[in-house]
Amino acid sequence: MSASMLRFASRRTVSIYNSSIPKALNTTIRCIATSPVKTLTETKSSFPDHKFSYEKACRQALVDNTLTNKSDTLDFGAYQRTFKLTISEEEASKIPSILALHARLNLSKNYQYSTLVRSLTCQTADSDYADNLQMSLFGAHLLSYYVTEHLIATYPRLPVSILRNATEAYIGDYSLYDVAKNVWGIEADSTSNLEKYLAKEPRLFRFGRLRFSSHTTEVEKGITKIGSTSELAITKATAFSNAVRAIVSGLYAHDGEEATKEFIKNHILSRKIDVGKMFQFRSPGKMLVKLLKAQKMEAPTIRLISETGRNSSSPVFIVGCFSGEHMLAEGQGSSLKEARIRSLVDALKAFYLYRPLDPKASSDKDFKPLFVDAGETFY
Amino acid sequence: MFPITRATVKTTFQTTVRRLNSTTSTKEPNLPKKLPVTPNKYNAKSSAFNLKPVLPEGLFYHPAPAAPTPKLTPKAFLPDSDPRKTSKLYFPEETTKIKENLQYMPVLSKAPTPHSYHMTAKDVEELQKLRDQGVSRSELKKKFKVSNHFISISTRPSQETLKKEKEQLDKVVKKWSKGTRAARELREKEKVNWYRG
Repeated sequence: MSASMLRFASRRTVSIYNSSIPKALNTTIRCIATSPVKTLTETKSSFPDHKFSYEKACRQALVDNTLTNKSDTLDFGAYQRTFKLTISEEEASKIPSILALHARLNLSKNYQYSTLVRSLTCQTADSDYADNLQMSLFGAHLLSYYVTEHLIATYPRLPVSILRNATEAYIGDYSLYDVAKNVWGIEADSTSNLEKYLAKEPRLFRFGRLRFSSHTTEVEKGITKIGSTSELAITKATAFSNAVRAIVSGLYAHDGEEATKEFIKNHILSRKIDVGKMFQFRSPGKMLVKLLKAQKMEAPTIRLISETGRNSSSPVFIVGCFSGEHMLAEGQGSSLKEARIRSLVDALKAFYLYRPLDPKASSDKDFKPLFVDAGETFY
Repeated sequence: MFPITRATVKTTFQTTVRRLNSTTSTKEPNLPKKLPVTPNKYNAKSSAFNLKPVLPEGLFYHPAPAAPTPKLTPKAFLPDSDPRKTSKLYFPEETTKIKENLQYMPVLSKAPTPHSYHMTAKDVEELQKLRDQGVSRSELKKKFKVSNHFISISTRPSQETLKKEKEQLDKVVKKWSKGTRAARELREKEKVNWYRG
């Protein structure tokens, strides 16, 4: 995982708060006690109807007149799109970058080169070639299914908001852009027709690169024009990620479900994301009290484990968050308040980040259904 | 180098090798003496006091001297079906380090357990109304039989009080120097990390 991806994953922190407190009351209740510079760090709660990029990819609307169904309108599998032009298998096998990509991804012989060409062709207004729109739509669903399944199996207690963020960190536009560009080495077709002519590049070679109508165009060096007249314009990250999704769906078509699952495991789930860093709690004390009550455990107590330099300029306090005799978490800080809050946050994280010893997803062969947890009983 | 005599020529290649590798002194005076060990910086004589630990064979449990991580689920949070819950090998510090020393760990704070739930929504509304009118805290406490804390969490201060407090705060903030303001802002930003862990 690249540095930029790590930054992305850590930036996407989620606030969990107690929704039972009325919002108006919650905001005005302690206004006197807050610091005047508090507004700097206050984070607005995310919109409840916010859609992540992987969710948007699953809900792409197909506005296209070419979609036809000759037999029965209710037979949804029979809907097809017709294209004027397609790249044949023979033509596709002459493109060097397609052959290289096929070899780099270690795809099987069943996987046709022409499918890769189609995966790299996004829908544009001026092109009549077969595009990857439906392929990426299906690939988005495949990715979303296997990644969510993996996350639920490994972290069965994750709150829904964290689960969605973790899924986004795996298969969001920016992650898949990183996979496509930096791992798979897919290139965007950015040169003009004149440049291609001057370079004496065969016409066919452009189909080996990712072709899409971009939101931004570089007019000249240092000047970027933002905004496109085309309705089909997409961002660079979306175009690259759609190519990945389309390639995944192509694998399903040629090699079947098991191969697709293995491919996703090797290329997507092998990337490391830090789920523990995605948490942010608004009132951890209240939450822990409710959580322990729901788990039928004793209410939390904070005990001082050790301290040093209480009267100095840099004291260190180590406190433990206990439920009865069980220590749930340890917290340290330069004030008792900091140590206490950190211990409460860690106790909550210790609950949510539980991992079974041998996690099995439901699509695995030796999966046995088991009851792990009652879920979030108090939200 | 070595004088080529009849004797040296006669010796076979194998015996030469054997002789060169042996530590015992050879009869021939010109051959350099073979050292018992390759010369290095370590001085066995002066470092004799520096005893090397002789570890018994096998596996060791030697955790890093670091704060426990929430990734290691405490036994109390493990489901009953998990074999780690009853294992003695999982998180042994819970008994060795914590449970035996619990008496030396003073309680700093406990989750409050409210004793009575006599206040209804209507009562809180009335409490808010009286507070807005400027009735003193002691009178409110006496009338509703609630604590100071309950009044502050269930009601909000009146608009007048809020305005007054804000004016006072703004006055104080105006007096802050650039450095003070920066330090205050930094402190607030650091506090955000407490809640992320």
